[in-house]
Amino acid sequence: MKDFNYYLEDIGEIGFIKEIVHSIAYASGLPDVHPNEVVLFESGTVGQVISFDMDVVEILILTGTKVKVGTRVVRTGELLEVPVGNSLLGNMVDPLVNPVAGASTIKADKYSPIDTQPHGIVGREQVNEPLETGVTLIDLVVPIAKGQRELVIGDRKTGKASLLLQVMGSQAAKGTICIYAAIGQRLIEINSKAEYFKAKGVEKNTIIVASSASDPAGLIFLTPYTAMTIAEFFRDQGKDVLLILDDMSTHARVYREISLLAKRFPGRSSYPGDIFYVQARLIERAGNYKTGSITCLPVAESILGDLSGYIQTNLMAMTDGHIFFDIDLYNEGKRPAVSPFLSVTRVGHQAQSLLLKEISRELSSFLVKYDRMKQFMHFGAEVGENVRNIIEIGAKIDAFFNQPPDSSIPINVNVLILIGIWTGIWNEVDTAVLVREMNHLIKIYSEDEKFRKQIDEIINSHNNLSELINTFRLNKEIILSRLDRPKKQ
Amino acid sequence: MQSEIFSKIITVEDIDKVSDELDILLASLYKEKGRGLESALKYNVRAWFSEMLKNEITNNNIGVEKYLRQMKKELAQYTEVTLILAYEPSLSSMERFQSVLKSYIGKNVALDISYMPNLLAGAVIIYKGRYIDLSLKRAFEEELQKNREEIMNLLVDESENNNQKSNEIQIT
Repeated sequence: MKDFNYYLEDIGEIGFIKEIVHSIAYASGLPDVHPNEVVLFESGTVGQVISFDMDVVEILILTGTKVKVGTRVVRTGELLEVPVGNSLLGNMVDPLVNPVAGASTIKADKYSPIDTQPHGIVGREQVNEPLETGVTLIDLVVPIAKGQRELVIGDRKTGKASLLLQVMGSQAAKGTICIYAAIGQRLIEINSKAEYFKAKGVEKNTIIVASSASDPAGLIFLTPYTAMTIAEFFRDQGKDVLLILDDMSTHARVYREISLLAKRFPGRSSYPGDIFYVQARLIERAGNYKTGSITCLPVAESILGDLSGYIQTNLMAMTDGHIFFDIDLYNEGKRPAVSPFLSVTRVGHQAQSLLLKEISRELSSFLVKYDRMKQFMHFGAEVGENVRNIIEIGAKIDAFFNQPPDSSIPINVNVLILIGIWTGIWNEVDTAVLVREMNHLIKIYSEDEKFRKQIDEIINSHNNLSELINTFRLNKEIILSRLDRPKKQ
Repeated sequence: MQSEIFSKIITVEDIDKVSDELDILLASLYKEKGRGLESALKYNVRAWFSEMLKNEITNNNIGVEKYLRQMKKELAQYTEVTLILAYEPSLSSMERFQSVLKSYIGKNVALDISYMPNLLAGAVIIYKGRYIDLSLKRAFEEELQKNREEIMNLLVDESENNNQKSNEIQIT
């Protein structure tokens, strides 16, 4: 962006600030201003035109510098554009793509407008490739596909951020471009995320677009748009992108603040009438394209587990499913505290192989059965052997789903362990042994190429769950030989 | 509306002052059992303003309140033109600026005059958000941008000539 005097002489229009209400400034002058045009204040502050009438231009202040009544303002004749390029990788930037906290200089390959019309049907493709998150419960029960938009919803402090970092970590390690949009978060939280990527050694495939809670509302509002614009740049290069928008409830609150300050008519819960349009227009830009894909995981915060809030239901309507974090499960000590019953994936299954689809179906129906039996057990009823079996296997599956936040488990080893549980390999051991042996198997799978190849071959050659179970039943040694169990006399 | 008072208005400050005075008079209308206006005209507004207004009110039969309100309406219709000048203008030059601008714009004009000596000469005009720089500074800058090398060479030659001349003088 050039300086104030350049635009003053080039465009020859000037305005004067008449009134400032928080992040909204009202200016006189600027006769030929356009909607959404970027304006520049004498002090160097950048603003964007929200609306105007014959006398007054309403400007949203985007950068933090102070603006006073009487400050001069000029048009730039430009819409809001941000520099995008490969040099963004490994960096943390603000929503105007200025480097933050020691990030290196950004070299722009091109400038892209941040608010664009979502792509039409031409150029899009059906989602057809799974996105492996490395999180057992999600990969097996609520699978996500590349190009899917999956809402991550839950109360505060239920482990949403840990899961997202886990997913980003495992995807970045596979070469996916991961973009994390921190919308109005605390600086300390933003920095801890950057540290996490560095510690994982995946920062070269990640970009953080961050606005802190102390930034002007206008800047916070732009955060997901900039992140999406960067994602589109990499998608157009034929890459798969994972985009996390953390979180859209804050984004909605900031938009509500701006709208109320701009004296827009308030609607439900005081949100402006176009809140759905504003967020849907953004999320609709994600998807699976012929060139590449943008998998979008918008985050929403629920209050006391209530899924029926205005913004939450709006976001559910815009996305292809949701992963629900249950505070009760979290308090029970389950990690991740994802509720398999209240989570939905609308298109994730269509990208799965026939075998995984069947496993997912079986597992879901088993979990429902297990949950019912657990409730039944609350009454202290005496149960038969069948029910006891379900409860025992269910407890093992619970342990199987429990996963530390920094681990990423490949899908085939998940299948292997699950089949092991089903075939009764861990029938006579307690949970602690099961967990130890599971971790041992995961370790061998990742370290022993021969074993990995053998398991992958077996799993990939089966399209049917019962056939796979039979194969492992007949060849239990494949697993048992790797468990270092003492041999029976 | 014809009023002698308007002929005294040149700058936006004048408008503000007259507008304030009209507000005082309007507020005083029904005070002190009808004598409020008289007292306000005597003590709360400028003498020339009071004198002119008294004459105009006597000559017009539309009523004091209506007359004052019409004046306020008229004041609101003034167009503001900002002039940034390199010098502080005299009253007569301000009147001249006003009449020239009025003939162009076709409306009553109030000047908002600022003083910026680094313009050297000429003026910057801001009217309805349009910014027109007619200053000598701008002309110099443009010229310098266009013919930078030529000007620099001329300046160097000139300084060399001056040095030579001063050396000759010293020798003689």
